[in-house]
Amino acid sequence: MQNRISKTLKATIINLIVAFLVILIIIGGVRLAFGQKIDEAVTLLNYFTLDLSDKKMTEIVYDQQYGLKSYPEYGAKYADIEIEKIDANLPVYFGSTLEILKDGVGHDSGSYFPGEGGSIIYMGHNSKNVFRRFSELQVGDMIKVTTTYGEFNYEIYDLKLIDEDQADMLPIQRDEEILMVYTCYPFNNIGYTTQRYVVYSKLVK
Amino acid sequence: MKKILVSALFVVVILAMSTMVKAASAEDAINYVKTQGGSYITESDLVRIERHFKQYPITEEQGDQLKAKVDAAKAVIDNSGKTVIKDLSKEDKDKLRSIANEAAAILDLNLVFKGDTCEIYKDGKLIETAFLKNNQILVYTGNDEETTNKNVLAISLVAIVALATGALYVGKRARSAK
Repeated sequence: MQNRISKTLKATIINLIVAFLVILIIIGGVRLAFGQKIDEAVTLLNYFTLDLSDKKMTEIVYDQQYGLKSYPEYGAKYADIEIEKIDANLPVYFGSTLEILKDGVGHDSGSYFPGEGGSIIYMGHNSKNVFRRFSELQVGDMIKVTTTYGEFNYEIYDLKLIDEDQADMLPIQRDEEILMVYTCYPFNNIGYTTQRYVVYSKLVK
Repeated sequence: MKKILVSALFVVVILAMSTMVKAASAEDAINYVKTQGGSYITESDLVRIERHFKQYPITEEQGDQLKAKVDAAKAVIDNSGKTVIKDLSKEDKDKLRSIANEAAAILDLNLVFKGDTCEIYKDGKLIETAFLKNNQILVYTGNDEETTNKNVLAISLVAIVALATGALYVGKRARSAK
């Protein structure tokens, strides 16, 4: 009796493992055959479901002589960022909490604002509707930031892969207006990643 | 606790700078903070400080009160006999934290310490978030939590379906064998 139970149990386990492997092979095959189309469909779905127009932009007071005279509240939208090369057109919020990043692009509060002539740091998720296509960016591509007080155009001059604790690779300075935008790398990671992909750009107009 | 001290020092130096704004140009004040803060004050902190004083000017009385808090904080550190902040006793670290909170109250600010960050509130609104590590970690911008959870859920569902299919198959075989 005991032998029979043992044999049955063994057979059951083997059958379960075989069934599991068959399902995995099927899933893998479908992914290989139709992966690109699945990604495109999801991207399209995300594009239409992400509400980019709902948030009102914060009005900022700007003076030609003194620069910014007011600042947005922490967590408020104050600009739009457009990267034509990767079809990105996203809201920019002041602050960099995870809650903010769920809505769009964050602005590191320890950096300057567009028009202030210093370092500006933005960051966004590497999800399909944000910065998944960062790898397509090249030197010479343009980034446009539109605020209520002006439009700022930046030209990419460098792209770097850094570790998460290399914050010194995004230096804060006030001599030149540099926009640095980063996202996590690898771009399709599952789970935590310790690398960041940074795009460096200079104000040209 | 080191994180609390850095935050405390950050707030106290912010407030100390406020006493210099009236007597000196903004440039001089920032240089003062740089000198006083040493390696604990980063360039990012200075940007935040600069922005804060542009938006929230203070009275002379508040400046005097804050200067007293700076002196109190310095006294705690000097009397400890320690040269490295992380070596301070728990009691001294608690004192610094308390001084930081008192200094914040003078400006109607509230400090909320959360893990590696310190949130600064004014009139119930979040006005700033300061990182408490000297070597700041860049914000995590990977697949957001929702996407990662969805991926994990998808994989789990596949596994459950596979096992259920397998179990059904095994059950059928067992019945046909009888």
